Amino acid sequence: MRAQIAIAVSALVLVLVLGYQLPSVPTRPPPTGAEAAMTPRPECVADSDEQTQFSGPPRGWSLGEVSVQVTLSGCELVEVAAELETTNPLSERRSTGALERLRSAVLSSQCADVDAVSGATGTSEAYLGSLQAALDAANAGAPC
Amino acid sequence: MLTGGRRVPLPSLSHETGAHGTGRSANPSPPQHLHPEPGPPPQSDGRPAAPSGADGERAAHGAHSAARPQRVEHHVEHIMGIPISIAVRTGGPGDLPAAATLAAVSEAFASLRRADELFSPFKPDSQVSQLRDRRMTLAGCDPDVRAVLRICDDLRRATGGSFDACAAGPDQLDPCGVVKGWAAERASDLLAAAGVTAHSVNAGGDVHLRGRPAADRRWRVGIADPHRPGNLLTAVHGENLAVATSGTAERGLHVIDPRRGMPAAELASVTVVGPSLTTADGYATAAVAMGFEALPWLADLDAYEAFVVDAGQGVWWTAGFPHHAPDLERKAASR
Repeated sequence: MRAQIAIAVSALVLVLVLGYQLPSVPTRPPPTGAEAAMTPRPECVADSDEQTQFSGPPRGWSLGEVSVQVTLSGCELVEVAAELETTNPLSERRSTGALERLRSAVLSSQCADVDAVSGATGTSEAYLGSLQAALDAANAGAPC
Repeated sequence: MLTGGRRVPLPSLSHETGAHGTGRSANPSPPQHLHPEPGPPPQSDGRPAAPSGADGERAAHGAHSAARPQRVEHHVEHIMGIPISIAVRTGGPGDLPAAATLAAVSEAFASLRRADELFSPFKPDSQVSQLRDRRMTLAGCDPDVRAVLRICDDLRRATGGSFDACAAGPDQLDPCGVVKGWAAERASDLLAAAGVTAHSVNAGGDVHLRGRPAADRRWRVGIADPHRPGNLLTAVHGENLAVATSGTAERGLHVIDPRRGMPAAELASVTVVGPSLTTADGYATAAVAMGFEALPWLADLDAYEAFVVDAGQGVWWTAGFPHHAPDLERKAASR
């Protein structure tokens, strides 16, 4: 298992370092060898209640390490957790520990006074519903 | 469900321009205009004033147009199969005369229609379609096509292959993941060059903001909840900022993860904000393809911040994102 993780980490690092570096692109750590490979995905059985957990390998980034853990019930996503830990105390981007995950229901609201909506306006038909909703919300008085 | 508020007459879809698959050459219908109330002072409790209905709106607009208050006007056209909404500040000191503003807006829409003619994979004679069918070589293409394909190449490398204009296959060139943002950014450049210094260009959810709609506030871009159509999760406040959202909500699983060759399904939507809409659009598209692995990648980007909604209704954001969305920390703290 540990060998698999080591291979996956090395592979990912190699894939990243082959990337072309643009000014706005994050800096990549140096390569350590081994062939490129995709991050393995768990086998899942659709419509089953069996819970499986899958952890992505920890990645070394210029700021620290991140690991992502996914819990599936059958093939359905139940939970996801990600941890970003910075190892550089001088970094301006201080880690908050776990990337916080909230339920969207907590944040969802009828937001007023927006000039535009970014997101669910992909098609002309849906546009009517979503823009109408946004304009109505703009006049419903609820502050954003 | 939303209740109350004022219903604003919306443009009908009968004037669809640049519709998919029709092969019609661009014969533009008059742009559809939305005129929200021209800016009566807010009520004492801070809520915007609400005229009594459509008649009230037209009367108020007529009464104010003589005094030319500074206001935001919305113009909408359907191009590239999506609604393109251009909002311009107009009527105030330092703003162009109305006719010049309208001319600049028309130019901006024209540039978006030209982009559709060049890039639409749904138009059989677009240059992208001809490239796919090998009826045209890259050298024979419009310089804009070469420029966009170069951007696609840069993005493919910058995202480790997660953004790939040929994700669906080597003969299935589809630069759509960046064309929308690129075209909207160019339209914004055109408006600025023409002297419309405060505007917002919203190309189906990819938004470029410039200047301020009024002296006392910045533009506000609501971020849609992909799980609850019609609801907004938060709002980005900005001037001279790009906001791009990519996701699976509206069009289903249309973003192919090039590494697995399968539709990406783990993230319902990704919003990226930063200086360039072209880049933000490419990064958002790439992040949807990456799935959960996008979370650390987004957190590490320089100059771009992100807000992510996953398929399980979890919401994530990078540490710098609340700087652009002042309400977010307050909402998160009050849960």
